[in-house]
Amino acid sequence: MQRFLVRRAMHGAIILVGLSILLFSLLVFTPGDPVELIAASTPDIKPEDVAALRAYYGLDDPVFIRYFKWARSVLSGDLGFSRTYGTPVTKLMGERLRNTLTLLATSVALAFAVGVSVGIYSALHQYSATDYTVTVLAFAGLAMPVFWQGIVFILLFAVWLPWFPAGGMMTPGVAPGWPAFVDRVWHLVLPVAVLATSGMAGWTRYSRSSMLEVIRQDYVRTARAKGNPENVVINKHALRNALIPIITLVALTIPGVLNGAVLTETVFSWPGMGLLLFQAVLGHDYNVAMAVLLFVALMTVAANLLADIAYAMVDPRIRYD
Amino acid sequence: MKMRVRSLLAVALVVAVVVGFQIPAALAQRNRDIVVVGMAQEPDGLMMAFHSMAAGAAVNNSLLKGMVEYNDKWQLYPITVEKVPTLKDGDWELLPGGKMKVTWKFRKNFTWHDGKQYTALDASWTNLMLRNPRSPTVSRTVIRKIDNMLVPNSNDPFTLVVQWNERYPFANIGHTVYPRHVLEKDYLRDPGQLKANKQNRFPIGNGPYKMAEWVAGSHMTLEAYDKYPLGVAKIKRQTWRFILDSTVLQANAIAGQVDVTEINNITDCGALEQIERRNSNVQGHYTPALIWEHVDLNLDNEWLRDKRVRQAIAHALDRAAIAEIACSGGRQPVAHAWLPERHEGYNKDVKKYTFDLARARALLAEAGFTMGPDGFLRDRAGKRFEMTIMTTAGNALREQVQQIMKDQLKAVGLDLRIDNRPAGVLFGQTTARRQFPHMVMYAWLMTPASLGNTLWKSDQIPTAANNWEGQNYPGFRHEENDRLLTQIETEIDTAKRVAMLKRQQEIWAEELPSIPLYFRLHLTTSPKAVRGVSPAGLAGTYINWNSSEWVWSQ
Repeated sequence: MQRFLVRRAMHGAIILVGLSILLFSLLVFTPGDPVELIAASTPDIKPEDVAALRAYYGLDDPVFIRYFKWARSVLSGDLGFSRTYGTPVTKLMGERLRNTLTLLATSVALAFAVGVSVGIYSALHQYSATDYTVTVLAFAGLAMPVFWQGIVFILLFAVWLPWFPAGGMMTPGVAPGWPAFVDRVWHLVLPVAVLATSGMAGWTRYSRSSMLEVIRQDYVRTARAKGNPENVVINKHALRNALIPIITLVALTIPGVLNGAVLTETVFSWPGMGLLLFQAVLGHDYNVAMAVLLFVALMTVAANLLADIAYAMVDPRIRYD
Repeated sequence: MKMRVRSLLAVALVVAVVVGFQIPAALAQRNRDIVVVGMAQEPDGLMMAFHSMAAGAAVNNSLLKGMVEYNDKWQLYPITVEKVPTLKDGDWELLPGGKMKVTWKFRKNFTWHDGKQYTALDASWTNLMLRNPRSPTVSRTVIRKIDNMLVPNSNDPFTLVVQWNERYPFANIGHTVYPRHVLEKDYLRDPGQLKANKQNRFPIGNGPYKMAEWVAGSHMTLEAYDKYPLGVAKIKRQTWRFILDSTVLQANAIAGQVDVTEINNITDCGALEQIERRNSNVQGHYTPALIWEHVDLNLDNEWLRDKRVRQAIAHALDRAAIAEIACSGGRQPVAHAWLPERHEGYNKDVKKYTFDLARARALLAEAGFTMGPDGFLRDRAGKRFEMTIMTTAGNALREQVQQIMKDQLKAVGLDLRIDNRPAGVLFGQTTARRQFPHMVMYAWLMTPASLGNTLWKSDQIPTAANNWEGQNYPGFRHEENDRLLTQIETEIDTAKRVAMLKRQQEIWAEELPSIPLYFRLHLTTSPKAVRGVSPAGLAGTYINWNSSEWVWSQ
């Protein structure tokens, strides 16, 4: 297992280096740069001013030199300076990461709890009216684009039924302490609901099919034949086995949820990493965009590794050499 | 098991009740001591000499007041100085050799938000700092026209003398002033690091509001400055919320979660009318502005080089109908040249191109085009008459106008292809490096100080040779036009300048380097209950230009 982990960590490091080169190139070769944006909105700017700005932002160097400068800085623990925000990227990421993790953790937990419960109930009542309803809703949840769903939720629950705020993370000026906490929860409801919906739909489908597969197994039939009560058969013999593939999938969904967070945070003006990435890409803020993208890449690599470990832990038949 | 479920339900109920009671408490924080402004941008910094985003300039209208500013009548009025210098009063002097001297008298009762005196010494130091090549100054175009900025008498730190090395008609619009005592230490250490100074994120200003909080990605809160000499702001707090999605910003306005909207990306009167309809407490402002929607033509193209082809395109388009798409009822005037009625250089007598398909066909026939078997024209060489139009991808209104143009130009035998680009690409390269083959649709935002010299002079055609200087994207060349614009740049006499601008408009309308569409309204909203809101509709002068005078009515 130890050898496996070392090997996977090395693979992960190689993937991250490759990705950093790819992402840096993609960002740099995207048409436009920060100085072009400034020049476009400053009608009387002269070429000498443009040249001075290009030198100031280090855009004059060849791309590979810029990459090596950036990589050296990152390896020394410095993610650079945000051109847009005028603050170190590390500080910026710290603030935003907390907000994103709040959103992600809440929505993943909600999606998992509701999705798995509903999926298992649906499997146990296969071909019932509830099963059909759950299936239709799950496909609808999977099919709805996050940004569209976000706007619909805002219209429904913030405009027509003014129950929740139409975006933002806090009410400016709200008293600190308990009122501030409640205010955050209140702001969290709609983005979590949107982000959790597609996850919930996915979990429902996974857990339904997993449970259906397990309850047809011989050992479940044997458990019933032994005269065990139905709740023991389901909870002790079926459910535990049905959860094995689902638990490993939890880690693998993290990158997908992070992607969903970019859209959700943009629609709901939730000041997290997704919104930061969106603004950084639009504003050609390369240091910030690279830091966020690499963070997502790191999470993806780590999530895959976690999934492998989790799989070995929950399923005694799996061994890594 | 059942007990556990019941316990969970009980906890959920308690939480719901507590939250339910707390939400109104949170809402109650929004009272009449505060006004919430929503905008679809977040500033990238607040030292505008180092930045170019409109959002930063808008917030600065509350934080940092200029020496003089434009009001809603587009007139200059003094703020931190006693008066606007004029030639008549002698504080603006024309000197031999094309030089000038302007004397400014600073008010003595202005202080920075940290209590330090605001003086002319701040202005002269700021000028030195901004002209330093190592400072991250965006544009030094005006600074280069200045020889020196002096405080001639050390006993009088309230008199500033600006010595100009050339004639400049807008020498009375003031200069950027930053607090020397805040910036000087960092400046002396490294001018290149000035953007990292606290002044950029948490500025010490001199305006009616001072910075209280900036939560990145969310909002910033300003508080009334109790020593503002022109009258302490009546509304105690101003919160700026950053809601990047325009649709969500509109939803917030309908839901009453933002009071005022500015830089809202709303270009369609229908959207504003919907906000007003859905929230009767909101008032929409439809302000005539200096925003010119148009289609630049690439005059290097073999067909568009011919004036008759350009004029035929103008005749083939029902521009009055196009102007109605976004705002019906004639509220957006059709453009016949590039300056609107409210600009001093507007000329109502320029050549006008009415919607006239017969005239368009006749002009194209004169230019040598004949009808092909597929209903589209052929030029003399037999080449099919097809062109490409570009605009900002995702701008629904412009994409709709493109479709109408495509249909209308088809009627005269021109096959129009649509090929759009994201705004960053369109303005970053497509226009700035003239990479559009035939047509590109966008808007210019202008100020009363816009003279068109960067837009229409032939030395302002961006080329690799001139390092892509200028905004003459069509590539317009005309000898008299060049001569007029050169003279306009340095003409101090308003009457003479206006006369030359009018003549320039005549030439422009005859030559038609672009197809003028319409002058856009500046669309903003505010609560009916807030009195004193009067948007100016000018770039640089935002809805909050007079926010110290706003007051919630009882």
